[in-house]
Amino acid sequence: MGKNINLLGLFSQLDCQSSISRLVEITYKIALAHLRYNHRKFSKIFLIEELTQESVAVSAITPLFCKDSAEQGLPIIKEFNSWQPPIKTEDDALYFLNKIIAGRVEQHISHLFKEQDPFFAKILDSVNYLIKKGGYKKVSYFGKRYIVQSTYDEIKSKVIGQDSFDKLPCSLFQNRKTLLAGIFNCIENETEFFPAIPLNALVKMLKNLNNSDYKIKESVLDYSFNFDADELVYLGLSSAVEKLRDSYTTKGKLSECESQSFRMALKDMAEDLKDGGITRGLYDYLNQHITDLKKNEYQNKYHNILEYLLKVMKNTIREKLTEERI
Amino acid sequence: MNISERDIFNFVFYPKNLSTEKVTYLKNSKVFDEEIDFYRSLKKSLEEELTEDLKQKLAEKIPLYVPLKIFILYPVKETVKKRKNDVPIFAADSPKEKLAVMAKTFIDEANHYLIRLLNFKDSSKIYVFSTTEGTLKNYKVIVKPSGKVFEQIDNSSPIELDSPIEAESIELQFN
Repeated sequence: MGKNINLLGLFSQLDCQSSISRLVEITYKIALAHLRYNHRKFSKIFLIEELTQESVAVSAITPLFCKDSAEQGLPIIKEFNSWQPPIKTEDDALYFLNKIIAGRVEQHISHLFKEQDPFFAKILDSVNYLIKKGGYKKVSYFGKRYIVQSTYDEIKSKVIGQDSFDKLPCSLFQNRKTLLAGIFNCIENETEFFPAIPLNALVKMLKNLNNSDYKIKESVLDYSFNFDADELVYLGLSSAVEKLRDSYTTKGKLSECESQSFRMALKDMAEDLKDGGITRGLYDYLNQHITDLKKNEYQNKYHNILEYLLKVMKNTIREKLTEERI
Repeated sequence: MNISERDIFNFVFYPKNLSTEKVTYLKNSKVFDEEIDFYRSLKKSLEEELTEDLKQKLAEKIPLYVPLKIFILYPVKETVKKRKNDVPIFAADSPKEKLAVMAKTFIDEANHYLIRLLNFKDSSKIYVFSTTEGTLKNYKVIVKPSGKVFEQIDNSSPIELDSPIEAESIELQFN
């Protein structure tokens, strides 16, 4: 345990300013540790808005310390009081804090993924539907969410890592109806890992397969994983270009030359969205098409416009995906 | 062997809570090295101090957070002036005042605060001064290595203790 940390003492004195400030700092440190451990390979999500791991950690813990107008106390205190089994010792308190923050970080990252990549959000919804329908449940293990059979309350041995998961046979992901049961069967019988499926890794796998020529067999009656990414991205791009023309070019806010650069940047973004999401900071996209664009000039003149147009493109894709679902 | 996340957590933070069998397994097996490393890095980061820049970012996002101002004061090496031989020495006549067994002065890096610790035979006093401000208000004095914490509303009078106290450094915390 860290030097001089008395968590039970802090939780019992959260009306005291120094206690709450101390708890915020501890919470932040745990959030950052989870981000570094679980998301070092997914740096892509930090590129949008040029987010840093530190700023994501701060944003992830903020809701735990913000009172809802209707709520009596802080969310973190409510979590502490309702945690099962009840927290009685220092080790219980630190473990509780670690688990609650890991969950919060994962939730925040999931939100960022969904914001960045409408296709990810669509497949995640579909997988959640399958979890519910199949009577499976989700548990958190070292800050990651795993799907487990309903007979398990916790993970009790080594879980499958990203590399091993990526090597599972593609045929397992082919049939949506037997998707989860098939993966469980494979992990249980053909590997030494605990039967648990990493949720985000599964969603990414399904998305990659959907984008490739390898399509998942579809059932008309059930939730689908399939969509035509090319068509949806084209529709998103068209609406963003239309907005660019109507709101900026025809009104003289951007010259024809600047508009052309924006169109090219949006086209590059659309291609990246199709292939998994935005891969660079927004400045980099525009910088490719405007010679000698200085970063401060970009920030002052173009950032808000490009950010807005990207939002238009994503929202259109999201809307079309929702329509397809209905 | 069944090893849960809590087992690995205990192995790093509270090994006494874990069975000998599990401790031995986790020590010798390489299976959970990555998970153990995670909790070790978390343990290390809990002991590190946040930068002022990060505290500022936390304060901007979380209104309830007010960065603590912490100053670490270390002992000053004191040199004792030698008396000149020609100066007469008179015997002290102050039986009512307890003789200080040990006096130690602590100061922070920027010389903003000064703490004087007087240890008597069976008591002690801690005086806190500022070199730049007048009266100091609402602060905590944490004596290291014992970690004893004393809260004071202001520094108009010293902290008085019933026993002598060892101090290698002293932390001064303001809200």
